[in-house]
Parts: sequence; structure tokens; C-alpha cells
Amino acid sequence: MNDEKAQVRARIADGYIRTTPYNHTLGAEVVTADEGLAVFRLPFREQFIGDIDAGLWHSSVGTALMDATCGLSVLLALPKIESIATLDLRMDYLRPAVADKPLYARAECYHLTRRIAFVRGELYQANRKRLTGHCTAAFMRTSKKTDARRAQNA
Amino acid sequence: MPEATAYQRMEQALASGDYTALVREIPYANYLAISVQQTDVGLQFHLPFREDLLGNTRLGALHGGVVASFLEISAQLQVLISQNQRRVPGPIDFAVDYLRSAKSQESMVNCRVLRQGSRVAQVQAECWQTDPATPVATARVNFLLQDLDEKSSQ
Repeated sequence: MNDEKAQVRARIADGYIRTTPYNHTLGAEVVTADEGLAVFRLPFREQFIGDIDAGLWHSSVGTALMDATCGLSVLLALPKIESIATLDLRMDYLRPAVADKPLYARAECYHLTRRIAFVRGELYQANRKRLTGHCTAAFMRTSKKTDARRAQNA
Repeated sequence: MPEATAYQRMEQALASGDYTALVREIPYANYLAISVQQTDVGLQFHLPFREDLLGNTRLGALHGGVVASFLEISAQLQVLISQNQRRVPGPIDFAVDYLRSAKSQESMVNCRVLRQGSRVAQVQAECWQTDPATPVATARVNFLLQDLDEKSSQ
């Protein structure tokens, strides 16, 4: 039973990367796909640099990765496959990420309502105790079924 | 003769108003192919459409993370160019609101520096496609400014 659920989650994560061109373009890899929890690893590439002389990632690469990770955590929290859309996302940039090392994004969908999913996330490199960024985001659940029910109730 | 550093090349690009050369010194901005134009309403930032920037192939929608990156980089360039900065300002935090899905076409960003102090610049950025009056996303970004020993922009 647990294995079955784990397989479904692995399939969701795999499909999420494959069917989202930009996740694929970035080169993001799934590290963890648990219930309402996603961890992505993004290997470093020259094109992700924001400051050549200081040797730092551009902060907004982390934001893009975080958006993708938050989205997957929501899909992994939903009882059934639904389409979702990011409503808003906020990042706190705690320290810059150093070039040549991979970037990790960890997102947890910690609350679900009928229409909305709430997510918090962390961005880090080697050590999760030294965060490079912190994130909060909200997603709309946009499935037809929920819309139909809403129209009926209206 | 020693090669010029990226910082020196940027200063030169800023001094000569060569925004193409400026963007080239920020690899992630260059990778997204962001360009800057001077218009009668101020600076305008452009992001050409590319298939690999999609987040949803079925809807033909740009990835939310791409829109977020574009907004943040635009706000950063706006401060760099219009506020007399010599270095790319580092963002403290970033918040984006997604209003509608960004379609498979060119996107633009217009920015407004709401306040520029000696340490912090607060910027509002709007991303739009066909009509600036119906933005696809808005963001606000706070930047930490470098201590400039001379030439305050006030």
C-alpha cells in the first residue's frame, strides 16, 4: 500500500518535470517526492550566474526553482490530480548562493482548503541550516470539478 | 595587460548607455535574452518568447518562475541604470502576484522606483504582454544598495 503510494508520487514527480518545459530546461532533478513535500536539486550551470566577479548564482534562479518545487509539493498534497496555478509567491533572500555548487529547494504544502493550497519553502546549498532563501506561496486549485461545484452553489 | 573584470565592463556599459553590453555581464539575464529599451515613459524591459520557457504546454503558458525571474531582473536593471548604481543591487526580498497566465508571446516589464534611500531601493514592477493596462503579474522588490562614497543620487 505504502509502496503503491510512493510509486504514484514518483510518477507525479516524473511527469511534472517531463511535461513542464522550463523545469526540464533548468535541469532540475527530483530528490524527494513525499506526501505534500518536494525537494529539487538544481546542478550549477554557467548561465545561472548573477555576479561573475563574486561567483554567485542569480537570486531569481532560486525563485524560479522554488516556484517549481512549491507547485510539485501541492500536487503531492492533493487527493487526486488537479490543475493548479500560482497565486502569489514571496522570497526572502537570506544570503547569496555560491557558484559551482548545486542549489536545493524544499517545499512543503502545509495547508489545503477546497480552493487554495498554502506552501512554505527553503532554499539552500550544502547545509539546510544555512538557508540561502525562504519562501511562502499560495496556489489556486483550478480543477473543473471544483469550479462546477462552485457554479452550482452560486 | 590584465583583462577587465565584469564590474569594470559593467561600469563602462553604464557610462556609455550600452544596455546590450550591460545585460551580457549578467549571465542569467543574458540567457533569458532580456533586453532594455529607452522609451518616452522610461525604461522598458523585453523578454522574447521561447518554447523552452513554457510551464504548461497544453495552455501554452510561460512558466511562473520565468515571469518571476523576468520581473526581478528588470527591477534590478532599473535600479542599476536609473539610480546611479555601479554594481548590480542585491535583492533583500521579492513578492510576486500572478494575475493571469502569460501566453506564448513576447513579454514586457515596466518598473517604478517607489523610493530610493541611501541603503534601500523599493521597486514596483509590472509584467504585461498585449496591453500595459492588463498586467499578467506584478511584483515588488526591495534592494540593498552599495555604499557609495561619493555622488549621492539625491
